[in-house]
Amino acid sequence: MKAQAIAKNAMQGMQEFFRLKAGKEDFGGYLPLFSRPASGVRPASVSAVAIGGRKFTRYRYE
Amino acid sequence: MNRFAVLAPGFERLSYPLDRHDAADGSAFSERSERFCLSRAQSEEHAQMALVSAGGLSEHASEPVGYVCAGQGEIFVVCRSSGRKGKEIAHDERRAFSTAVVKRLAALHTEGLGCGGLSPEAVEFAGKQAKLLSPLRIFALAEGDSVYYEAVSTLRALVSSGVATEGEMPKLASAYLSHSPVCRHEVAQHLQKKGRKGTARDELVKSAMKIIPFF
Repeated sequence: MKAQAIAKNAMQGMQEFFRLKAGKEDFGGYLPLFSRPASGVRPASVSAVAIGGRKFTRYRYE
Repeated sequence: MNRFAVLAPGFERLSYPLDRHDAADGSAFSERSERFCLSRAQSEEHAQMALVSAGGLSEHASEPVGYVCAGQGEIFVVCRSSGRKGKEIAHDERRAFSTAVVKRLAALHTEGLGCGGLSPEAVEFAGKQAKLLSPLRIFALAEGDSVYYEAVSTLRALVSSGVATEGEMPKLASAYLSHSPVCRHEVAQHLQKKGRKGTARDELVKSAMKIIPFF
């Protein structure tokens, strides 16, 4: 029970920290911390495409 | 959930935020302190055309860096935005902003390009210059196309959105006319066709006040 309360408090603290950080630095509601895939997130399949003689990268999302 | 994204070299990092955000017309997100805006494209081919012709239109519109396909198959072009949107402009900057908008329209018309008129929501403002948020709105004017109604609808949109006042309209019309010989010629032709004797500036203002805003 005590461990659950500690975990809940920690989670609330973290949410508050990132809410404040987002508000201050104006990330447009998008938090940079979550901009990279965390472990366990399946990466999108990647391939190279050429459009008008220029190279681009195509990401297919699962 | 988005189906896929195609990104230009140097913008591969956008694949993660594009995976997490459902694409929608006019939506924006930030990545490494840069802002990116999404605008709807008619088809994937249109988006590809915007990507490869970006260099030639960089003076008039924000830079396209890729496109994304939404869950329903709609295509959205991703553009790097370097300024503020019309609704984010401070009160004391409104005059500079509205002048920049009419100057941009005059510059487009001088190069033989059309955009269907500019509304403050379709433009970003940076360094005293206004640029279109989406290069997809720009098209090459054909011989029969008139730039007169693009100018009239732009003036009207600036007033009805509250960016400019009715009293500022003659100045804005003058700024538009003085920056493009194409515009002056077009308005003179319009006056001649209608058999009117007023000045080009007054005719623009009068027409702008007559039409119902459609932006």
